[in-house]
Amino acid sequence: MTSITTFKIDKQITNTLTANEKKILPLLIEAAKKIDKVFALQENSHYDGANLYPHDVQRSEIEEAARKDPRIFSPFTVVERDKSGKLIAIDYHQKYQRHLLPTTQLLQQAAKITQNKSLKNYLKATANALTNGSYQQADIAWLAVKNTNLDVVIGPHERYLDKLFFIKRAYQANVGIIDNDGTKKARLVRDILYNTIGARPHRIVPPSIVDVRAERCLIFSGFLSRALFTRQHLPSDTQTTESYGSRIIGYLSAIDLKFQKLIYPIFNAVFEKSFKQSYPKELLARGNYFYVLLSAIAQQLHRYRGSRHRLRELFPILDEANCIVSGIQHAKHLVLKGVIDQKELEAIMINQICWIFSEWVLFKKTNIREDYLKGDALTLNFLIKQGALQEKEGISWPNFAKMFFEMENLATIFTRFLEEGTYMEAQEFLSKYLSLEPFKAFDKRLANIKPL
Amino acid sequence: MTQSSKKFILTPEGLTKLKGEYDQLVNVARSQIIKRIQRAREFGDLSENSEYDAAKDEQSLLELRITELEEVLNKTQIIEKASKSGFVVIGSTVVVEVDGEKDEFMIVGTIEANPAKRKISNESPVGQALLGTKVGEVVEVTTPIVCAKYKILEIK
Repeated sequence: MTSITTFKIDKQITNTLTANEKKILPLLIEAAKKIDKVFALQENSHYDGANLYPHDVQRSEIEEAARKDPRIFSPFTVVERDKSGKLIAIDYHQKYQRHLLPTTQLLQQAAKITQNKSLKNYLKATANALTNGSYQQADIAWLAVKNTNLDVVIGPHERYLDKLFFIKRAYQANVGIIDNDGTKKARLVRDILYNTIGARPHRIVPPSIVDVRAERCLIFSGFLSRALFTRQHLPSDTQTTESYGSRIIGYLSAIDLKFQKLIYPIFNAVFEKSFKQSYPKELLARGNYFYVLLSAIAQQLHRYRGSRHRLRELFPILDEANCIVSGIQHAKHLVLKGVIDQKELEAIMINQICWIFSEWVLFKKTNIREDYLKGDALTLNFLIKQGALQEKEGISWPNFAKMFFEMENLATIFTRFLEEGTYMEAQEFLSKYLSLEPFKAFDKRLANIKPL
Repeated sequence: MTQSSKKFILTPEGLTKLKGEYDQLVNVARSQIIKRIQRAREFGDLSENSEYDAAKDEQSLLELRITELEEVLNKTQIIEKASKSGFVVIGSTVVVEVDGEKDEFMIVGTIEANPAKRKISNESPVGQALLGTKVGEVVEVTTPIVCAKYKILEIK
């Protein structure tokens, strides 16, 4: 199954590119496409460790091997058995060398052509990283790219493919055109929330305020295409973030696509007729944009040192659950300060419910977003158990005030887990609230929604 | 108060900024956009001329903003720098504690509001609730969905 998604983009937007940018664009798109083959070598939905660990291996065996050889737990190695059966780590750039070469060559060509010095540096650094594993240098160069309309990210970034330990990174690529207007609006919300939400002792703090960028997408490839993310935070390692900075990318084309094909059809499927009449599509689309933005900022605001290591494979579940409920919690400040009104907050919360169901719909096609589904299931179960959401032939009227109150409670719980909670505590909470059963009650209504 | 008689509350700094924007739009941007339209016309066939369309769109937005600014500047009510009266008034900078976090912002008229720059409208839920309060007071700001307690720590 290929993992390439292309997006339609208005001519008006491509017209914003300079002649030199237009020259390198086909090379970048081609380079991105080639990443699909590398990701195909990593992906395997039948095993928790995908093709990143031997299929017959037990967690304890890997943990034991990692004590002797820390490279076993490197984000950029594949673990295999040697002839004697011993676990060994092989660097990504060696393991996938042959398949990475076409991308490397295309990036080198683009680097020669571009007249933008910082972009040239980044393209060269990425080509080098694919050849010798110097991924941090590529991340640092990416953060330093300026004065360009293009954005390109190619490399191993997200950890979701590794359901055993949440360590190994999956290859992805995206090429997009920066949307200046969308970026400006997103930065306004970022500034309000960063002004309002105070410091916390264990928070991972970049040296300068986190950058936010909105872009129209041309192509997603590899992991990003399979997961169809609407936002990402890069770089994804703590040390680079703390020393060099961090950037949130909002993928406007993916946000629009998901809204049209998934979120809005779900809204029509799960809510009662008279309720739906109060929420026009345009209002919900605006709510959807705010929902994604608030979740993205909340995720960045609640990055804590040691949480990935402490919570291991539970981290992505709690991280996803927290960014959603904390995002809604932080929307309070937007309402109180007059940035959004009551109806817009309701639209954001309706989108939240639809997004929760969208994970269930997508799960039927791929388990790559399973951690997201589990995170959303925690929230859904909690809200149903507390009476904030009532299921009766589809959700009729959510109690927004009750929902908001319970989400503030949940945000406090999740944030504490991420800040200082133990693995055992988190596991106990998950065993109480993590169930996919409530989704099944909506199966009939969601039957006609296609998982994209 | 009807919409037509509504006064726009501005600080002296806000008024200077808006006047500056108005002068720039009328004296510089307007003539620039006219020149752009003339140049685009020279490219020929207007039905297929994206540069012409873009320039015309920009001109419409510019004229809309000029009209908006004229209305505001004609109906301005200036708020002088808040004196240390001990009460929160429009123009006061307030330090508050909300949900255990410290926050600081100035309360201004809606036209000047920019929450990203810590300028909150007097018509926002927080702006409305805080006007007239004094240091030490705790005010509950509620809307049908959200609610927060603001403790006034300082008025600048």
